[in-house]
Amino acid sequence: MIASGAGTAVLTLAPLAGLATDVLAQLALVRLVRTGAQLRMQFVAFAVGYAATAALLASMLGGAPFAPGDRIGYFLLHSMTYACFGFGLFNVINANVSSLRLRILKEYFAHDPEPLADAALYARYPASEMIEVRLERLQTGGQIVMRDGRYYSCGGAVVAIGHFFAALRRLLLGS
Amino acid sequence: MSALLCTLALLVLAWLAHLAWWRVRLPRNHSAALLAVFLLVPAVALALWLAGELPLPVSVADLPGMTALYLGATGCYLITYAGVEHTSPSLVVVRTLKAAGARGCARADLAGLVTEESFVRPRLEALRRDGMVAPAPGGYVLTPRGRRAARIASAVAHAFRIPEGS
Repeated sequence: MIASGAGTAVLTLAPLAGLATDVLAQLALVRLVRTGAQLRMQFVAFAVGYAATAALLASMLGGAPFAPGDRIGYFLLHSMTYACFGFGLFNVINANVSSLRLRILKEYFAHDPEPLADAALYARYPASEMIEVRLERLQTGGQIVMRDGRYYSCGGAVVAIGHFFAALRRLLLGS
Repeated sequence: MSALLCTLALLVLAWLAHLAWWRVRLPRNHSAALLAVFLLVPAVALALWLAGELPLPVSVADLPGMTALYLGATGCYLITYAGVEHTSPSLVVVRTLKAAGARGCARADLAGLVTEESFVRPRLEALRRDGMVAPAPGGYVLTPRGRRAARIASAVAHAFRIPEGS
């Protein structure tokens, strides 16, 4: 419990503890669960981290001398902070799975200190293979489906994300 | 509530400043420019507020929490922006299939969407622009910065049991 308004700084520890819980939960899950459902494990770990954040916030804010509006405000502020940290962690981990830029960086690392020519990289990442990997991943994730040799969209969040990025790109880059 | 509202207001202001800059002229290094905007806006807002001799709407004890949210949200936007700067091949495929509707697409239709020129080349240019790789006889080599980033990525992949090249 926080004795006075001056102690609100300590609330910052809640999202940090939540992030640590998220990391530990993911490290434990990838060692305990062998099904390879990487994405599901990340969501579970994120939820565990948020539960820790919310529990800490509730215990620190409980009975503190704040107006109800301030209590809600602090709870939201630190919950949003945890969501940002969790989103960052999610992307750091997923970049290793799907980021082409990171994979190219790792190609340089594998050849280090020898130089790597662009032609070698283009040969390593042919467009035909890139599309193949993507189609397989999207089918596994249930975002697209193949029927009679043709691919179809299943709609859902990925389409919405695609529209969001396209709109932001048009707004910022004009293309 | 004022700590939350002030942080959100600063984030909105920073985003509007970023939008205005981008509409006038695109910066050479998008990530560095974004970081500069998001760090400068709260500093300028605070300076103007103090210069106006106005009472601060939040207490000093709120600043660590506000800073954590502001930096966390800035980090999220930088991550999101990478998807704006370099379109993901997966998103291109999904949007094309959505636009095709009930007709769907054959593999050959989709193959034309993803080319080395449109996806590999911009990423190579970004690595060079960000100082991750440098020219050397016979191609490009990692810079110390690039080597550090690759080591961190490999360590993350190892810790979270992500198979290399998955």
